[in-house]
Amino acid sequence: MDFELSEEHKIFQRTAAQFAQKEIAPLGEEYDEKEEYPRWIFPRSGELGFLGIPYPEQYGGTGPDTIALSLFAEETTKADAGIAMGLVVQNTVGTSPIYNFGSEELKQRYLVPAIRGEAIGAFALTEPNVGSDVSAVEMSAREEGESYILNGAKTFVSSGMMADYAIVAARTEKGKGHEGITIFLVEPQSSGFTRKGLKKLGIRAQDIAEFTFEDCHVPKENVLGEVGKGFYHLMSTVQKTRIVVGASSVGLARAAFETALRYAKERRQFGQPIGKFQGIQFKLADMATEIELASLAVYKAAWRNDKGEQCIKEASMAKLYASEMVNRVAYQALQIHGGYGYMREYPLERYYRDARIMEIFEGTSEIQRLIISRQLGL
Amino acid sequence: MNFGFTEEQNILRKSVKDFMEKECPPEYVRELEEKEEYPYELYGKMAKLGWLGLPIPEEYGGSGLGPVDLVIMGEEMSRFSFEIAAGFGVSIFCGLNIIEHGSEEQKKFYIPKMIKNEIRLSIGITEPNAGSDAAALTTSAVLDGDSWVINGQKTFQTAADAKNNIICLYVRTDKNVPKHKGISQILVPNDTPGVEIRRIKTLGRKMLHTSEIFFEDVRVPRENLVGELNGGWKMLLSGLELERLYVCSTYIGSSQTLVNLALEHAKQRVQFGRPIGTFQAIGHMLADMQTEVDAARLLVYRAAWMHDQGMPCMKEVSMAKLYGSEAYARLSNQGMQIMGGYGYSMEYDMQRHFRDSRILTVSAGSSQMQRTVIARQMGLRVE
Ligand SMILES: Cc1cc2nc3c(=O)[nH]c(=O)nc-3n(C[C@H](O)[C@H](O)[C@H](O)COP(=O)(O)OP(=O)(O)OC[C@H]3O[C@@H](n4cnc5c(N)ncnc54)[C@H](O)[C@@H]3O)c2cc1C
Repeated sequence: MDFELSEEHKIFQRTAAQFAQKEIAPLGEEYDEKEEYPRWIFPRSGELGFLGIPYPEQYGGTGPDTIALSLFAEETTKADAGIAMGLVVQNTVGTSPIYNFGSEELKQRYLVPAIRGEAIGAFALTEPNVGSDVSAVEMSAREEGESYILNGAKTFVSSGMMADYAIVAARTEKGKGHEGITIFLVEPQSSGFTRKGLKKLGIRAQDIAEFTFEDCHVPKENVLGEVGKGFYHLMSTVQKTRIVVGASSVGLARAAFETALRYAKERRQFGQPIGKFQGIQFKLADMATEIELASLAVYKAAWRNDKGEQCIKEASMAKLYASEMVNRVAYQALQIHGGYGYMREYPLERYYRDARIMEIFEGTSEIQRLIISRQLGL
Repeated sequence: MNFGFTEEQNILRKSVKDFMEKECPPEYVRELEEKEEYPYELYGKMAKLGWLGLPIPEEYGGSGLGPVDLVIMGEEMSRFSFEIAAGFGVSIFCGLNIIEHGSEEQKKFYIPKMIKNEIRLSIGITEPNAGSDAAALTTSAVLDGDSWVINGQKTFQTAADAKNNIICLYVRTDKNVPKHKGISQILVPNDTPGVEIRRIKTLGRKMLHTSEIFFEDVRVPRENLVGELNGGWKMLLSGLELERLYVCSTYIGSSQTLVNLALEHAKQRVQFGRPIGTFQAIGHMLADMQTEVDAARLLVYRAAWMHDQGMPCMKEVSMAKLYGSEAYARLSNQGMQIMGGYGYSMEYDMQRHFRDSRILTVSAGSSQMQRTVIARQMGLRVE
């Protein structure tokens, strides 16, 4: 047993934390308010090697390394969840299908600039009628000569408005459930493609979009992986994204916890710091305990993933526990701040809004429980 | 045992419901919230029906409704909008306080105007360093000839910046006595020179607004003092049971509406070939949610009944406040979960419940303060 990070990971963690605190944290409040992404963070992250953590050097990456990716997600989300989410998407679903299933040419054309932060990727699976049940994809892709013709709608696409390319799942064969889904790489300039921004409660620096495809032509060479096998392709990498969302949850929880701990020591009522009241002390004790447990679960899953071991159950447990934990922590941190917690001037209400997404995307808590139950043989 | 209501109460419930259905549809609530606008017009319509006077004693132009009736009104209004129900209470409880402690002239002057929706009343207690420990307030008022001169700062003031609003301001009038004994209540119109109101941005409660108020050499006539000099602490606590009771009633209507929204979604949303409500995880969540709403509602009804009977009920009211506010926040969290990504989207109403409910375990006596009250009533000397 060894619970220490390696020397390289410690150095990586420090560098990521410095970057996040210096370059992301000061932007959090402003870009949440503006509901806009500070786009220069992409090339800047690319320059520092923060966008190729899961990929080998040959494409400009620094990995593959799930522990480092988790550390990066944790530190950046601690600085600001909205801005971090753009970088997290880029390091996971916004690029992984290209790396895992794309031709060498597509890798050169899209993955390499994405790792440099010069092209932003988005991943579009969810549809109006397709949420948790991803195998129900309805969007159609019809073969015609050298192209596929896409028709349908996607929704809740993270980074969708600022994306330079989108990875899109569509059905090439009707009525086949898990079979018959294919992944495409689509450029927003394609004819028949339109997008519209949506408003959401939290992680507001990060945009989110609805896509409409009306006879949108996509060249055949933009198919990622095998035709009809898209569902299996996508499912083969979900663990990693779940672990990373767990790590983000831990980072956000640390931000909320540290703010609340400071406040409990400073704020005086009834002639003493509120942290002297047991009602407040025990809240903080519980929060610290839960963060520790979530962090252990996340890094254990990351460690297994890096060893190439099966970690479906561990990844789901880490995501489930960490995402629910961060909501409890953000709730209590706001409570400790009383009325100040509800004000935009303090970061608590933002943490509270941001935390809520962790239990919804990348498989809701219920879906994680479903997966864990199946892993238990139920 | 009798869990029923009188004929009049059933009629009251129905007329509030009919009125709100017609005048306060979801689009109206969304629009006001979007524009961050106080519901002047709607309260004007209520005033025409005499509603702003319903809880006011008959001798001051009201109808003298009792606690149970008030709870019915709060519950029914809040089904349509938490904020509209909450704002309704803000003026009325300040008015009732003036009726209990103010002079005849004050009552004759302010109350009829309030009932007609010509003025509004808001309450000014909290300061940057006086939150849960309200008696630590330091905003001061000093008598200078025939005027009070007020200096200091208040914060988290609900609806203080509404048009024609009078702030029922709690100030320190004697620094040399124990903190509870040097507080007075003075009426300060919000457009008095020297009063500066700054809106604070908040997570929710966007119609009513929350503000900071700065008082710099603000002068108001001597007769704006309410009741006895240095008798403010007693006034601040008086009527608290009824006020809290009303506040709790606004949680239960809102909670019921959000459960209805989640239930409707669970019946309609199909994933894995069936409505998601047929998955045990979701079905059971909804069963728990409705159980909690009913429990919260029963706690409020019990406390209202006790109040009506003239029984002491601070403990019961605190329980209703504690449980109801925490339940509403928990339910909005579960409601959002059931609606998935749609719950997180600003196009749907669930996120409003999530935002509005979050302050309720803090405002009007935080959950921690309610627990302290309850524990003390149980004979424990908790600090
Ligand atoms: C901010 C944000 C960013 C997103 N980014 C992306 C993105 O980049 N790309 C993308 O493709 N998608 C994205 N999504 C979509 C996200 O993955 C979905 O919201 C999520 O999968 C849930 O789907 P749904 O919202 O349709 O909820 P539904 O699937 O309709 O679920 C509603 C409720 O039913 C429950 N439920 C469903 N099935 C079961 C079951 N079998 N048993 C028990 N309970 C069940 C769910 O847990 C949930 O509580 C994003 C969403 C948001 C809000």
